[in-house]
Amino acid sequence: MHVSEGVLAFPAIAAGWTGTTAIAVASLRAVEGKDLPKMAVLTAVFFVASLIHIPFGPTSVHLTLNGLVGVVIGIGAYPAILLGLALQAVLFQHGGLTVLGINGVLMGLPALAAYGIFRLGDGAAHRNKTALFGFLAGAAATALTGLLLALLLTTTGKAFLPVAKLALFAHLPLMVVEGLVTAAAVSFLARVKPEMLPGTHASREV
Amino acid sequence: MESVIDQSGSKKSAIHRMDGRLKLLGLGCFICATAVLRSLPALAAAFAAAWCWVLLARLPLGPVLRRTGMAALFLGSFFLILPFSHPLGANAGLKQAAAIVLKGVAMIVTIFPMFHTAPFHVSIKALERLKLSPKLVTLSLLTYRYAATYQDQLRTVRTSMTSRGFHPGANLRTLGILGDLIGSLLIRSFEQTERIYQAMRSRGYGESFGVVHEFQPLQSSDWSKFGSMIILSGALVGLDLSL
Repeated sequence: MHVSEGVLAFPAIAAGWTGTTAIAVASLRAVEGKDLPKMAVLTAVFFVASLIHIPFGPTSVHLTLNGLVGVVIGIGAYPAILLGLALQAVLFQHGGLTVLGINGVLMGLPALAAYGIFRLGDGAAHRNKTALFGFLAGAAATALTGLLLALLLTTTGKAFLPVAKLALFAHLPLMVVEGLVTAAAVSFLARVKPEMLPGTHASREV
Repeated sequence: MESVIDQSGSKKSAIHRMDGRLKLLGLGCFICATAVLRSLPALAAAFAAAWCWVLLARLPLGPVLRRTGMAALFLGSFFLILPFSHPLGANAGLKQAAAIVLKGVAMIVTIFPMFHTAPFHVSIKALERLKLSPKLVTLSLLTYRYAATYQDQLRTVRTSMTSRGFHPGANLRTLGILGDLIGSLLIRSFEQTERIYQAMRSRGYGESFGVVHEFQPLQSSDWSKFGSMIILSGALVGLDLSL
């Protein structure tokens, strides 16, 4: 979930851009030029996958997959997510341009956290353990996004307190959905192409 | 997806003819000015100005209204919350909700004249000239290109899934199948990347990506359009401060 244009006051927008610029610059420095085509292809897949809607009760939810982006792309996940958000703003008018900075933080930081969580299960020889860490990475990324969003909304003004609670509450089912999809995708990758995952046995041998 | 931007780029209007760099700078400035506004009259003026850009660009109104309508509907939900939650009462809450809708819609609408009046690669080239990181430029161009490809692939896979009787629902099975679907899309694309990279290297790809587009020297008409965008942005902020 991301913040829409028009809601935030200027200081929050400026702080978002400062944070995003710092993290994106550091993260891009860690990316080599020869890795860009691979990163672009993965970013494109994630961008397209985020257009998938799942029916959910009377409404439908769409996947954000920021946990899976973190797991598969690693440190470069931050600019990848930022670009995904920019494309969504320009092509579909989701989110917006001035809130791109803050949305980058809301979605990108949890992706980096998911990468860290998945690495904790490094060398998970057992398939169930890989799936478990995939679930944790996906669920934690969504939970962190929800927490950051709620925190941001409460600092925006007292009037936004119910909105913050609503956002936090809405992230609970999303957390489970993202966790399960990430677990399924990660165990699929571990079975079929383990070198795409960081820290698995196969990727260290290659 | 490509068609959304690139079809509207073929029309000729005052905004289409404007130099890409000055267009992004001028309208970007307008969006930033709108972001700092607080008073309702100034926001209403910004809202009207944003639609003037769309009319000037002679963009098809149907898609613009549809897309903006979705955003407005979402922002409009603040009318149901803020009047009840605002510490200064319902009136203050209504005013704040109105400010959010006017501001949000004005900024979102401006994206159309900004980015939907030139082919995507031209806008990226303009951003490159405005000092966007070369790595991000390369990443944007390649991602945009592949997003279109994978959207087609996803459509194909979904058709075949539906024809085998798959109905998405809120259940574990759906989530597992979607996970596998995303995993297989990832693997398919990952295997392509190596070949793509080699093909690019053999055509002379270094570590940045050249776009074959040269901007014409800036005309006085570009400067006058840019000037009016800046003056309007300044006037909006001035109006806001004076109220």
